[in-house]
Amino acid sequence: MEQVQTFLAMGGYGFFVWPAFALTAVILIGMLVTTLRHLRAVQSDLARLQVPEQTQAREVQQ
Amino acid sequence: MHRFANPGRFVRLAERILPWTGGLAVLALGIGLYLSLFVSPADYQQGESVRIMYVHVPAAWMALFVYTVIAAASASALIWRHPLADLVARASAPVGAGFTFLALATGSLWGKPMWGTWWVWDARLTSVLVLFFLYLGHMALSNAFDDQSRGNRAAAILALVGFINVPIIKFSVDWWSTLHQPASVVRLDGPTIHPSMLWPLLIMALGFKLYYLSLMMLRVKGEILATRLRARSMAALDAT
Amino acid sequence: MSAFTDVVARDLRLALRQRGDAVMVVLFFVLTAMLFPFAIGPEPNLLARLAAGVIWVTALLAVLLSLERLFLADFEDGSLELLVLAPTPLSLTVLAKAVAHWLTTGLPLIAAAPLIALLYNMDEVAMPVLMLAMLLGTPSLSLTGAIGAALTLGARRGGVLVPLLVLPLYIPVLIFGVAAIDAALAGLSARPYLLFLGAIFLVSLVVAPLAAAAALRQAVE
Repeated sequence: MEQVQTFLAMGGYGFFVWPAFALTAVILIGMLVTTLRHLRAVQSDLARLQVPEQTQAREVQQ
Repeated sequence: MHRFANPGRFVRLAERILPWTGGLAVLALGIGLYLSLFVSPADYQQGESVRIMYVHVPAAWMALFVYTVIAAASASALIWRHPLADLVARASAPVGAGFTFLALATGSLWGKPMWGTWWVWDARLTSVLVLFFLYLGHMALSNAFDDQSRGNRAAAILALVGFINVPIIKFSVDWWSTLHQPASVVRLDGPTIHPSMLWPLLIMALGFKLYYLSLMMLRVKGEILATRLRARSMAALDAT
Repeated sequence: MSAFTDVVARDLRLALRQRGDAVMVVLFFVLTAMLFPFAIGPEPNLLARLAAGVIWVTALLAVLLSLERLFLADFEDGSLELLVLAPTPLSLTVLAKAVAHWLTTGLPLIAAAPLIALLYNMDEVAMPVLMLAMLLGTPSLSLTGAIGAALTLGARRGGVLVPLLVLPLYIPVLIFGVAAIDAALAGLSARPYLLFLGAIFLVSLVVAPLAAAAALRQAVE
């Protein structure tokens, strides 16, 4: 337990070191999440546009 | 280069190598993080706060690297009209801005215990702040027009004009007496930093690079699909 | 050569007809500079220390305000397309417009600067350097500003976008302009800073017309 506390304290600099790493994680993960969400939105919009086209194609065949 | 000019081919290629770059990125970042936090030694003068270097320096390197990519893509777009170049620039700008912000913020967190101040207007910090605003300007300009391609081309010109800032940032610590420490890794004489610190740093830098590469491919894919969506929507409107 | 002087002459005639624009620039400059004593107090020593910075920042902002109009009128009435298609190199036309812009913006600001210096109790010993620094610096502002004005033609919210694009590029002029005056105030030589301002001017003279011309071509395509 004492070892964990020493580690977290970072020689007294914990107040600076941990926010730095946390901010890094937030930004790197955040940019990834935003990108993936946008990608999924575009893909689902494209899929929705495909479906009416398929129905149109079937109508033309008939 | 022109093999990749076909958007469809790019997307297929990206989907093939993305698992590799993404996986390697996670691996490098994981190992780098472990080395940074647990294995690498505390500094003689700076104590444990030196560990911030392992996120601050890679972020700063990426801030410069991404801008260089954007400048190269802009030149490619304007001179050779490479169709994907505009998309690479557009996709990269927000990521570059993110890295720049990270560099500034982690630098601030490192500066406060080391220099006693959150910010100082020395040449290095000021020019990186200018870089941040160049990124924001690029993003604003490319989105400021109804015609997307006009926005892309205007942003490309801006990127090239602003590129002068990159060597200024790199050499600012050499040309002016600054509070920020001088170069200790990318130097003509080789790095002056101890291997036990150099290796975690380089591994983290590699992780950041692979992360950017993966993210950039995802974002370009998104841009390509968005263009397809716009085209299909307009065609659907015409059909009705 | 005559095409160059033609564009300069035309822009000057238009500016003279709308005298109000040049007057507004100077008025804005003086008014904004007058705000600070109200905000930070009229203590003469404090103002004297801030004089160089205030003069340069307010001059920068005054130039910024006038940039949007640089190409806008021509863009909207179609004469820009004619200029792009004309046999005269477009970068020369841009240079001519920048010259006219400086004559109607930078020059009046240089004339008004001593007034601000007076109001701010700046030591007269730095006055010559102030004028020289502004003489060397303001042309760069017109040239670099032309890039921003050309890039944002036809953009939504172009007026807000121009400062965002142009201010980062103005910062070197600001830094060296103020440094020159501060050196003179301290009794040191301002020469190195004036040389830097001159160098920035020469670089802008070459790069700005080319970049702005490229941007103008995009705008009319």
